[in-house]
Amino acid sequence: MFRVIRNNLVPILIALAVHAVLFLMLFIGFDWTPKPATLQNQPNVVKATAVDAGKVKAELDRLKQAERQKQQQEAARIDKLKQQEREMQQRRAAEEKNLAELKKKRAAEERRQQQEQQRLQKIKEEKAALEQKRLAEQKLLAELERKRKVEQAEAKKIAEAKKAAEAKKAAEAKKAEEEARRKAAEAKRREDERRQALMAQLDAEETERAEAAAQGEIDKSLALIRQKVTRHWLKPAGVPKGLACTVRVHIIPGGDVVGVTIIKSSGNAVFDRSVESAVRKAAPLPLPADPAVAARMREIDFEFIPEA
Amino acid sequence: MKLRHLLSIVCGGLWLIMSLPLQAALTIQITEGVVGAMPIAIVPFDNSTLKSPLPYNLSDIITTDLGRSGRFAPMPEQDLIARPHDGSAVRFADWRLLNMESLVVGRLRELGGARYEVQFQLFDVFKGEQLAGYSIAFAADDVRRTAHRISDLIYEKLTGQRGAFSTRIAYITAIKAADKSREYRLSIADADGFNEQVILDSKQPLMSPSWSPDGEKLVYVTFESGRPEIFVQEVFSGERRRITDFPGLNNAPVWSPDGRYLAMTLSKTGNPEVHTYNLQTGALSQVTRHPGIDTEPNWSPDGRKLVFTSDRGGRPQLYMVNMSGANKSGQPQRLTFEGEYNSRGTFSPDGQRLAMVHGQQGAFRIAVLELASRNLQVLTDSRLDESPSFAPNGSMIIYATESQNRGVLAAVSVDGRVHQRLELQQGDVREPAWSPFSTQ
Repeated sequence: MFRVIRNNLVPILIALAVHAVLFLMLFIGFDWTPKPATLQNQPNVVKATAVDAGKVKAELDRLKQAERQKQQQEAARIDKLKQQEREMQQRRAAEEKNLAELKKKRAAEERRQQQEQQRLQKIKEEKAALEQKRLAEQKLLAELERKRKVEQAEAKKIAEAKKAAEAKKAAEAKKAEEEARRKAAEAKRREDERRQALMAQLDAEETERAEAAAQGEIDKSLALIRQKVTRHWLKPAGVPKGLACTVRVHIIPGGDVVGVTIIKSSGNAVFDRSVESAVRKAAPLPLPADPAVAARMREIDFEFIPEA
Repeated sequence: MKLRHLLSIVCGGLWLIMSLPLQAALTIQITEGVVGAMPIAIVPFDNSTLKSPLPYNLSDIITTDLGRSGRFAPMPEQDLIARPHDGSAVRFADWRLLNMESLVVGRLRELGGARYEVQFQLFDVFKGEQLAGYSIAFAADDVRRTAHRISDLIYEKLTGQRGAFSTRIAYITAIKAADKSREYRLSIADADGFNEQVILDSKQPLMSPSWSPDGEKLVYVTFESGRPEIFVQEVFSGERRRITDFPGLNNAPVWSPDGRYLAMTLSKTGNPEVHTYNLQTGALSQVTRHPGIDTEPNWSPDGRKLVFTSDRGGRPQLYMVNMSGANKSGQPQRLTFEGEYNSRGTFSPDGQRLAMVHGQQGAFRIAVLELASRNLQVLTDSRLDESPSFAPNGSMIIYATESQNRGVLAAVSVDGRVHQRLELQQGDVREPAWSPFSTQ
């Protein structure tokens, strides 16, 4: 219905406007009858005052002038009203003519409106059919859409499953790879450890062997030193029996004695000196050939305890 | 972090503790050495500034002194590798190469008026240190005494014992005169035999000189009256007095260490017995009482024992008796069992040894008995040795021996290694007695 109205809005509005104007004109016609002029008959009241004759005259002139002007204006106005009366008559005739025409037009319009309405009905029906068809189509489409969505979902599901499977597979592969790598690393680590342990053992054995050898060297050296110092110790005669003296001897590479410190004196200066001299005279002390072993013999304590 | 710090400190501490005994673990025990003489180099003292040479060479005397003590082996002069005269010129390394333990350098200077000055230094070669340095002024006729003093100083510094080079010896000489009569002399000389001074001569035999403990008197036996008498004589003044003239033997007088008594052999009882004689009161105390011969008494240094020779066991052997002052306490004990004959026992100054004449298979030699161990060591290898006498420091023994049918003096170091003849004296020299240390 609105559609019909909207589609024919201009003619409808025009029709309504014409109707309204015509209706108004009925009333306005009454109002337009001219009213009688009352002001013309009223005398001018002059107040008698002692004034200058000249002035009075001027005033009189002016009043006369104003009176004349007023009469002229009144005449003009009447003319004009008459004129307007004529024009009004003319216009009314035109109006009546227009009205008739309008009546004719309205009938035509009504006819046309009926036709239009029929056409509209027809269109409406067509439209409904179309609508129905469209709805069916829409329904079909929705169905299709639904189907498509289901399919899509399924496809998606499948894809996801596939993807998941792939991811799982990749993860497993990765895991397997890592496991393999870990195992390899573990094996390598074990191998390293084994090798290190072996090396350490070898080292330890080597060290032990070296230590034993060094100890042997040291012992040999100590025996040689003992012999040499004994050979150089001039036991002092005539000192009290039971004297004993301990000296700490500092030895440099090469066996030279660089320092002799009495760490336990015998109390007898001559005995102590004989001890110190013995060690110094025995220098160079026979040290092991290996400097590393010899380095462990930098300091030796000599206890001089003569037997009997 | 803190824990790690602590751990490292603990570990470090452990390491230290473990490493310390490791260092100290290197200990060598020396239980034996060699017995022998100490090598010493005595460089002739510089005398280049002297206008005229001294009558004796100081360093020669010192070298001889030290050498004959047996405690030193002086380097022969021709072997000296350098002749420094003061410490600044000494290169110790050179002397170390020669194993010289000690080095003596010095120089002489003229002071004018026949007086001189010697400056000397003694070095420990291996330590590279001066042990002693002295400057001594002396007169020209004191060269030998000065040298002996220096020897004493060196000896004492290096052995810890007082040197006996400045001491003297007394001895008896018998000289055959042109008229075939014999002349007997009591003489004193330096310990090396020089500077002989006759303090008594007699046509009759003189015997058994013995020094007073202060070294100022001698006691001896003289036959000048035709029979044995014991006299005491002042060494310097020559003043003398008769002590005993008992009937029979008046023999073998010897001073007690405190100087109050003499021990001697008297036969006034009919049999030679050991007696003591109080020098102040003249009181006698009989020590031995035995039908055998008891003679040659000798005091221990502490005066509490007396050793004597007795044939009470059949042959002469040494016996010892404890003494309380001038009187015996207890019975004599036999000391010697080794050898057919042991006589003339004399104590070493430290009282630990006895020197004696030891007779074995017809040979009489000087032997030393270690009292603690009863170990007997024969020191000499001659045929007829007699009268051993210890140097006051115990380092040497002087004795009389026979050489080309004449008595001579000889000295041996107590270890028996160094022998020396003192052949300066004329005639038949016998019965040497070594003086005590001079009290001057």
